[in-house]
Amino acid sequence: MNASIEFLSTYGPMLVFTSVLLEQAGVPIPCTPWLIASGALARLGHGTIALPIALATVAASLGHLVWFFAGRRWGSRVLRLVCRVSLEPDVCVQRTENVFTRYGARALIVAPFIPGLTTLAPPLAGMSGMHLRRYLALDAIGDLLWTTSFVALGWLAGEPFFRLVGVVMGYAGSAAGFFAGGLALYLAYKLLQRLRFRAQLRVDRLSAGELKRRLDAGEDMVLVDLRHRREVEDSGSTLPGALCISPEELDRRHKEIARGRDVILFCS
Amino acid sequence: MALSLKRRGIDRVRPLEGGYEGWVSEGFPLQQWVPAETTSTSIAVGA
Repeated sequence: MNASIEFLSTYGPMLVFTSVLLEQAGVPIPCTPWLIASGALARLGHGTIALPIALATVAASLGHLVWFFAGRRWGSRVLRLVCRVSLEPDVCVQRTENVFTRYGARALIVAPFIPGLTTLAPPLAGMSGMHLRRYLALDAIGDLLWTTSFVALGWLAGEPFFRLVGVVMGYAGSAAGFFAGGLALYLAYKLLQRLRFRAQLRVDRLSAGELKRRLDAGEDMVLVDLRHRREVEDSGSTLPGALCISPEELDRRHKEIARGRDVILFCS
Repeated sequence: MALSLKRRGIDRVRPLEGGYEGWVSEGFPLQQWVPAETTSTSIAVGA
């Protein structure tokens, strides 16, 4: 235990800053164990909690800022890029937009606590044209609350945290193997399901020319514009006769879509 | 979204290749979107 305390006393601040910066910028590496450990370390008299909180807040804000500017520069393409790692990218993008529609800029404060949203909220704020100063203030509040909560958790745990780490490391081999196996099976199943469905949709895809011909021929079909409300407003138009149903309205309005007819979906 | 509709019993679902932008780039007609969705006017865009 003394060796790990000594190691953390020396490299803790650097580990906290680097891991938080990378994790908040979207690299899938865990940073919360380092935040908790730095809090526990402070409880044992090695340093203060102020330093890891400050370092982690600055690192998180820097990591988010990259995405904020990317969102401002490249718009929804950035969201799709970030969501590409998700098993359901379309749902991922829409869900994030829905959170922003519902909570507005306040979503930035809670975003660090919601897995996934922490990387998606900054580009969405950039896309929405939020003023940089307002964005920085809200993001900093969220980051400060987030880092403080984990460092405080470690501080409350104190020495037992390091004992727990020792016990966990003892069982790490078998527990990690079991967990990793289960996770791999689940991911493989979801990926297969997704690939099969996408392959089917690719086959069923309708070209704009074919749709125009069918509409001109008077075929009875339903066109559904699934773009987000803001996108429809920006463009000011939709396809002839299309129902504009944004994804967050789908639960409430899906009965407006006639069954038994070809339903043509489109987004941006 | 297509999967989500299929789960709601709408199974004859076909995505439009290229989406809205694909339709616009072909120069096909559009319909003006009105916020209240009470009225709409057809306008020709490049066709």
